[in-house]
This record gives sequence, C-alpha cells and structure tokens, in this order.
Amino acid sequence: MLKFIIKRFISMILTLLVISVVTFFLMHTAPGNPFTGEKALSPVVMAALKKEYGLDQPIIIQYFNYLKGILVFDFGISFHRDGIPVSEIIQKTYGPSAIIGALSSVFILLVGIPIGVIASLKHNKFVDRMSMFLSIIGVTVPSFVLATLFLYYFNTKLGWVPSFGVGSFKHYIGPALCISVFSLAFVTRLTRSSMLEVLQQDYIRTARAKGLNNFKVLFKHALRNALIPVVTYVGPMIAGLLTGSFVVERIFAIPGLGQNFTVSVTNRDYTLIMGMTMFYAVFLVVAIFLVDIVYSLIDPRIKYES
Amino acid sequence: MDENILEVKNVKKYFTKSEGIFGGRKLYVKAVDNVSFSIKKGETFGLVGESGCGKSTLGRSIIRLYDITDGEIFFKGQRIATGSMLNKKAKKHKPDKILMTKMQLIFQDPYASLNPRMTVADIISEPLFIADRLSGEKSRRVKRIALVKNKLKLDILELNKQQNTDDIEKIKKIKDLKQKAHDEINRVRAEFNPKERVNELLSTVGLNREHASRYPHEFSGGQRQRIGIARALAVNPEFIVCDEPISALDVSIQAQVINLLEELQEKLGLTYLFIAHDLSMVKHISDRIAVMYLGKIVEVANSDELFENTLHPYTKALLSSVPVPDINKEKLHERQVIEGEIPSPLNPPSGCRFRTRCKYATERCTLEEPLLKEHGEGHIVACHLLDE
Amino acid sequence: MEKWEINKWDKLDKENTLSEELKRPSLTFWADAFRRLRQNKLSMISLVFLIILTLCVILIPKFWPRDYDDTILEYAYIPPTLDIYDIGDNQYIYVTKDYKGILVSKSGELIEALVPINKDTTISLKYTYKIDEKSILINYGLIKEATREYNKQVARAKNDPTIDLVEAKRVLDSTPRYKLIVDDVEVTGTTNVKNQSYLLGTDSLGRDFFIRIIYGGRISLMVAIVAALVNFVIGVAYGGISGYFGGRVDNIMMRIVDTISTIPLILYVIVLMVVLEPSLGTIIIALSLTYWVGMARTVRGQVLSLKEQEFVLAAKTIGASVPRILFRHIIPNAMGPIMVSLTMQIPAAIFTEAFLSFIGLGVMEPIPSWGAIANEAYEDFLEYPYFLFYIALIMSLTLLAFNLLGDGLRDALDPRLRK
Repeated sequence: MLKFIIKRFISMILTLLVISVVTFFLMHTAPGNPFTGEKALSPVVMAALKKEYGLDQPIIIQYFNYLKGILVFDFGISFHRDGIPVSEIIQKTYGPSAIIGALSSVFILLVGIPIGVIASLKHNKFVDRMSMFLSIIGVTVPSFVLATLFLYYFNTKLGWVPSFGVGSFKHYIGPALCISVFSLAFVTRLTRSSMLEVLQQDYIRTARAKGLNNFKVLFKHALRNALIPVVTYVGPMIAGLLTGSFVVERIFAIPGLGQNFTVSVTNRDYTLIMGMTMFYAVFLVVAIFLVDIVYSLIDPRIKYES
Repeated sequence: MDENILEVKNVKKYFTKSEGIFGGRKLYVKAVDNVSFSIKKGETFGLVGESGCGKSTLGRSIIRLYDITDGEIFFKGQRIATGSMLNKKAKKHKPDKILMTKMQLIFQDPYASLNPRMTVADIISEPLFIADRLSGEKSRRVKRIALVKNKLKLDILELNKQQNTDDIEKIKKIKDLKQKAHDEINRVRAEFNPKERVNELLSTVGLNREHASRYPHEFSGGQRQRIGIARALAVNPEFIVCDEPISALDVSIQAQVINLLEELQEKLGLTYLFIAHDLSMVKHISDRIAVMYLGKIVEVANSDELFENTLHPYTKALLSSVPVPDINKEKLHERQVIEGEIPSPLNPPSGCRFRTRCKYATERCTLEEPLLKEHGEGHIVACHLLDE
Repeated sequence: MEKWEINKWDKLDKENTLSEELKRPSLTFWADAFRRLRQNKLSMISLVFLIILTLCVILIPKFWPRDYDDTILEYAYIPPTLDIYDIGDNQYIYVTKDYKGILVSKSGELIEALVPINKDTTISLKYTYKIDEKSILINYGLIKEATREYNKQVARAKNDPTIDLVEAKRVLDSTPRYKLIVDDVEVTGTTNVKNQSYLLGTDSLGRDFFIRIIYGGRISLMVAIVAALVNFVIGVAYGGISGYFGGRVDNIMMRIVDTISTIPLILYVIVLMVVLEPSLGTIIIALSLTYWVGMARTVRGQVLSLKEQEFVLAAKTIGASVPRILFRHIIPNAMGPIMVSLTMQIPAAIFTEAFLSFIGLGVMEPIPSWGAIANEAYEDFLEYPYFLFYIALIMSLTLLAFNLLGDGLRDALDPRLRK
C-alpha cells in the first residue's frame, strides 16, 4: 500500500515538473518582460531592474530559480500590475471562486448522484428518459448561454438575484448553478450508466436471492462499486470547480480566479498567467492524487496492480 | 530415406514474468523447456498434453510467431530460428521469407482467425498478393508493363516524325499500336490471377465460388475453418501446423474437417504437426505422437505403439481417460486419476517435472531430470523407472 | 411406391448439399451498422440536420447579396422586425435606436439612410430631414424636457404641498422617447413588418447578422473538422505505434500522454494562444496539438486488444509486413471507436473555439466565428437580447446534433449488438 502511495506521489511530482517546464519555456518565447510596461525606462534602469529580479541570467538558471520560488509560493511578479507579486493577486482573488466551487460541488453530489441512481433503477421509464434528455442538453448548451439566460430571467425579469459582484449568499446562487450544469449532467449520466452495469452483475442477483432487502442491496453492494468511476471523475471536477470558471465569473462579474485569469490573458500578463496555471495544475494534480488514494481504499484490486 | 522436413533442437521458449526491481531476480514462465524432435516429410506428427503444457507455444514458435529463447529450428535443412534471449552472442535470425511461406498455421478459433472486415476472397488471396510481391514477380510485371508503355511512346514519336505518310494513316496506325500495347499489358497483368486460384482453393476445401464475396460472419464454424485451411493452402505450403483445429467445432463437423485434412495431405503431399488434446482423434490422424508435460517432451512413439505399449506414467494416465467405444471393455477399463494440481511453469519441480503427481516417484526422480532414451524402435521415453 | 431416382444411401454430391447455400444478401460491417443507425431516430435527425447545415454554410454565402464584413454604420442595430411609420406618398420611415431616420419600403426593405439637413444634438435634440417636399422632424429631446420639468416640480414641491409628485412622476414615465413629425403633423401609428433586407437584422456595425452567423458557421465548422482530422492522423499514428509495439515503447509513450492529459487541455490551448498571436491558423494549430491525446488513447486501446487476435497472427504467418498488418487488419477493425471519437472531437473543438473567443483569444475581427459572434451578442444582451438568442440556438443545436450522432454511432457500431 505504501509503495502504491509513493509511486503515485512521484508521478504527481513528475507531472508538475513537466507542466512547469512546458509553461515556463512557452512563456519565455513570448516577447517582453515585466518592465516593458506603459512607461519607457532607460536602458540603465532596465538593466538594473533585470539584474535585481534575476532576469538577466541564462534561461535554465531562471527556470531553477522559478522552481525554487514555487516551493515557497513565490510565483514572480505580475507584468501588468507593476510590481505586485503574483501570489498576492492569487491570494486575494481566490476566495469567491472557492466559495462558488464548494457550493456547486456539494450541489452536484447531492443532486446528481441520487438522480443518476433513481434513473438507473427506473430504467427506460419516464424519469430515466427525462433525466437523460435533460443531461444531454446540460452537456451541450454552452455555459455562457446558460449564464446569460439565467441573468436575463432571474435578474432582469424577476429581480430575484443581484446581477454582479459578491456580497450576500444570493450573489452566489447564479454562478454556482451555471457552473454546475455541465458537471451535473455528466455525473448524472455517469452514475446512471455505472449503476446500470453494476446492477446487471451476478453478485447483485445473488444478494437479492439471499433475501436482502432492496435498500441494503443498493447501498451495501451496488452503490459502492458503481461509484468508482464517478469518484474518478469527481476528484478533478472539484478541483476544476474550486478554481473558478472564466466565463461564468466574467458574466456575473465575480472577482475570482477565473476572471483574474481572463484579464491576465487579455493583458498578456505572462507571469500572472504562468502563476495561475501552475496554481491550477498543482490543485488538480493533488486532487487526482487524493482521488487515487481514496480509490485504493474502496477498490481492493487497485492496491495489487503494479 | 525419409528426409526430415523439420528439426527442432533444444528449443526453449521462456516468457519474462517480471523484470525484477533494480536488477533483482527475473522470473520466467518456462513454457517450452529444452524440446527436441524431428518430423519426416509427409508424416503427421501429433503433439498432445494438457492445457498449459506448452504445445501451442511450441507450435507457434516453430512457425516463428514467437522468437525462441534458445535452441535451433531447421526447416527443409535450413536454419530458420535461433534462440536469442539466453544466448546473447547469437544474432537474431531473419529467415528467408519465401521459405517461411512454405510453413503455415491453422488456428484453433474459427471465429477469431478470419478478419471480419475482409471478404472470403480477400482473406484467401492475401497470401497470394504477399507472395507475389515477395518473390519479385510483381515488380517484374510492373517493369515489363513500363517497358511496353515506353516502347509505345517511342513508336508513336517515330510515327509522327515520318513525313511521307498522311495523317489519316498515321492516326489509324497509332490506334493500332495503342490497341496492341493495351492487349500486351492486359496479358501481362493476367499472369497474376488470384481470382482463379481462389476459386480453385474454395472448391478444394469443399466450398463454392459464390462464397468468395461473402463475409466471415455469414458462415458456420466448420465453414470458417475451411476458409482458414484454404488460406493456409494458398501459397502451396509443404508443412502445416494444425493448432487444435477442431477443438472449437461441433463434434459432427469435426469429422468432416479431419477428413478434409487427410484428403489434402494425400493430394498435396503435406506434412502436419497436429496439436490437440483429444487423444482418440490424435490417434486416428497421426503417424507418430509426442506427449508433452509442463514444457518437456516425456514420450514419443508411433501412434499404435503409444497406445498399445504405453511406457511413461503420465501418458498412461492420459490414455486411461479415453473412453473405449465397447461397453464390455469400458466396464473393465480402469481409470487412473492423476492426483494433485499441475505445478506452475514459473517454478517447475526439480528433477522429473511429473514427480509431484506420479504414483511411482522415487528419490532419484526428485534429484535428477530424466532424459529421453530409446525403449523400442522409434519409441523414446523420459522416465527413470524404465532404467531398471 | 414412388420412383426414386437416387438411391437413398448414396453419398450426396457436393452440388446437392443445400447447407452451403447462403440465404441473406451479404452485408458489410458498415452496411449493417448503418442499418442499425437508421433505426435510431434521434441520430438520423441529427445527421440530416448536420448535412443541411453543412450545405447551407457552403452554398449560402455564394449567392447571398451581402458579405460578412459589409459595414453600413447607419444601419446599426436594426432588428429583424420593424415598426415603420407611414409618412404618406407611399413612403415609410423607420426610426433607429439612436433616433435617426431610414427610408423603408412598405414591405420592410431598407432603401436608404436619411441624411439630416439639420442636426441638433445638444440643446433640443432633434434631427431634421427633407424628402421631396416633405420636412421630417425626429424629436428625441422629450425625455430631457420632461425630466427637467419633473425636477422643477420636485423643487417646487418642497414648498408647495399641493403638487402631486406621484402624478408628476407618472407624466415623466409615460413620456415617449421620441416624436416623429411630418410637415408639422405628428405621425403615430406604426405597422410591424419583417425586415426584408436583413433576415436577422444587423449587428453593432450594421452588418448582416444572418450571413455572419452562416459565415461563422463555416469558420467554426472548418476549424473543428480540420482540427479533428489532424487529431485523427496524429492520434492514430501515435496510438497505433504505441499499441502495436507494446512493451517499453508503449509504456513511455503512454506515460507522456498521461502526463499531458492530467491537465485539462483547454489550459494548454489558452497558453498556446497567448504565445502565438490568435488567428485562424493558430487556433487550428493549438487545437490539433492538444486534443490528439484522446484519440491516441482510444486507438492504442483498440490496437492492444486487436493485435493478439488470431486473424492478426494469421496475417503474420502468411508473411504480411507490419504496415500491411496495421492498415489492412488492425485499423479497419478499430474504426468503430475511432469514428465515435472523431465525431465527438468536433463539438469539443467548436466549444473550445467559442470559449477562446469569449476570453478574447479567438479569431480576429472582422472574421466571424460562432464564438466571436456570441461574444458580441453577449455584450449587447440586455438591450438586444435576440442576438444571443439566435447564436445560442444555432450553436446549441449543432453541438446537440453532433453529440446525438456520436451517441448513436457508438451504439450502432457496438459489436456486441451484432445479429
């Protein structure tokens, strides 16, 4: 078991390294540096600044310095917002995204999984067909359409929710809902098809033949096994949700990570983009790592695979 | 003098189970462990043993679907395989491809051995296309066609240069030349006629030409096996490895296919290596039979001799399981039950591999591996008990 | 007794055996699968829809009178249905959102944007036009006056309690935004006609919205299909090699793929687009370089399972070369999942392109793509909601169609359902 964890940990680190290399070198092929901003600086000052921040050193050294920095959460300085460290920007904008992400994660799990289970139990009946139809729509309609429609009806026409910013709980409903739709549809479909497959298995029939009541069969046997693929999806999903969606945050004017990223892209703020990418990547990879561990706890077969 | 069409010398086939972490111990599955025998031209050599004894692996190694780990294989006197894994110094052998086409394989599973996306005609003619290319026939034809086309061009040029013939004449002559060249090209092309050969093969195996344009899934198991046989026969092989060709068929069809194989052997002078685990069938079709256990050959004898004068304990137990179609004899028939489980090929027993299940095992059997020794004409056995 | 020509116990000739006769007509694998697909109504509807869409996108721009970047600023923001005023002499006027006049025909055709002979944009806010002998006045300063009046009332109300502020507010609120006066007579009634010049109206720069959507469809579909095809080629090659050679080669190649695909591919696309300035070509490049990993995985899985199949071994025994085995035996049998994967790549690419446009990394002006159009539509949403409605509708329908088709294909090609 320990060997398994160590192996996964190592591959996690490796993945992060690869991503950091790719993003770092990509960013450095782009023109400019943090100081070619609005004001024109004299070459002397420019050189001094470069030296100060280590930008005059060969690229490999710069990369290693960058890596060192990451370990202490220093991602460099923003190109665009003169001199403000990237990590500070991330810290400030992290909150709203996290709240929205947490809300939607809970929503998805509490709604998607039960609906998926029910749909699988009433296979091909109305409930099943309706939820499958809705989830296909959820998967195809783009999020910005949903978000705009939501605002149009619930804000402009009905005035139930505020249209931008953060403040009260009401502010979070819209974004959380819109961000959830895609994953909700996906989780519902996944749970349903997984349950369908599990329910056909012989061991379920055996349990029923043994005389176990349906509820017990469901929870003790079927659900545990059916949820395995769902867990695989949910881990990275939560990581993704917690880091915010660009589109939804822009539409609802949420000052979160997603919007920050969008802005940094528009401004070609390379260090900020890199920092946020790395942040996002770390988040995601850690989430996957945790999922793997949870996986190995629920599925005894995983532990023994090489 | 009967020549040996196939010679297998000290062949080993090991599969690596795990590489071992940081150069630790390597584990091997010793599927075929030091096997030697020869097959005479025109004979049917049976190979029997329980599942997992390595007979399929041996068959496939002979035909070079696997590279052997050690030892040598000779086909028609030429070396076609050398072991490369244990013997690092030996170079990996690349035998003559055309020679290899004389050796074919008939597969066990008629449902999986035909490409579901190809028509029967495609399947059977594929070896013809490959052989055509390999032997250089195709490029020769292509060259000849190019020559004809070239000549045509030159002739037309010549003709156009002539001053004294008028245009209508010229056009007529050009038309003539083109027609002649066209005919020549078609003639050359027709030299390679797979369609004819396919129909020929289909009727040889008992199917007809309408079947050529169909797909495998439209046929029954027995028919598919026939298609597989037709494919194997396409390039006029001399030696065919039959890897349990009838195990997957209904009993009533099995006889048909066996009869077909026998017919073909007589008509075309084929040599068979017949791998099976149905002993009564093997007895019917084979001239000689070899018995394998856990990667080793334990007994080889002529068909009748093997059944009448069984020497190795394993063979005895195997044969006792064959029902006799005579009620009275069957009642008296004493079945020998082999006890115990077959050991893992990862870690076979020391000395004689069969000792863990052998009623008569002695201490010598644990220490020393018995070698194949002759005990009667053409009858070799590997068992210490016979030394007394 | 009947006369028997044949002795019952004679062995039957081969010709007499009926067992070899085949009753059903031969169906190739694809014909069989297509038959199954035809039975799936949703998938067939999707397929038809997509075919019609593709034809529209290719053919319509060829004969449509306007191009996607024909900009007529005076015609900005004209909706698909117009309220027009009858000003006599069989002439009609449409008043734009910024209170300018456009001469239209009775049926709704736009004839020309009127040029004012007098503009007052500061004090009393009106435009004056002259057509033939008629003088036309559009007065849009009413609200300004009414507000001033209201404020005066509010100020007076502080001292005079009899002033009814509620009434005053009502008066303010019911003030029309403009008045159309022809030859000193106010024209009020309007008829609602369809805009005959612009099927779906015009956008912020007076461009034909309909043709922009069609053109946008061309671009979006083209990007998606090209990217999907490149992904297909790279993915099949990569997955094929990895799966076929197995062992160490496979290990390493799959490790690379796993590492790459841990991170959502959209992130790579964004980073790539930031580095390569956005344009049609770079979008295709960015999409092609990232999404192949899905196809590679699928192909590798298929190849791995197929290469141990006996017909592949049989091909080896008859001497087939490696390319022959791969292209004649393995890949054709893997086409099922490959086709499904390909069909699913296309909506993913459309979605990604739309997403990129939304954050400003998409195709550049004036080339429209659905994402770019959606971006513009979103910005104008509160005032002109129909823009977003149309683009969302066409996009969602297309994505839905591809998804349903892909689902249907997957079911139709499932070998387990073969009869």
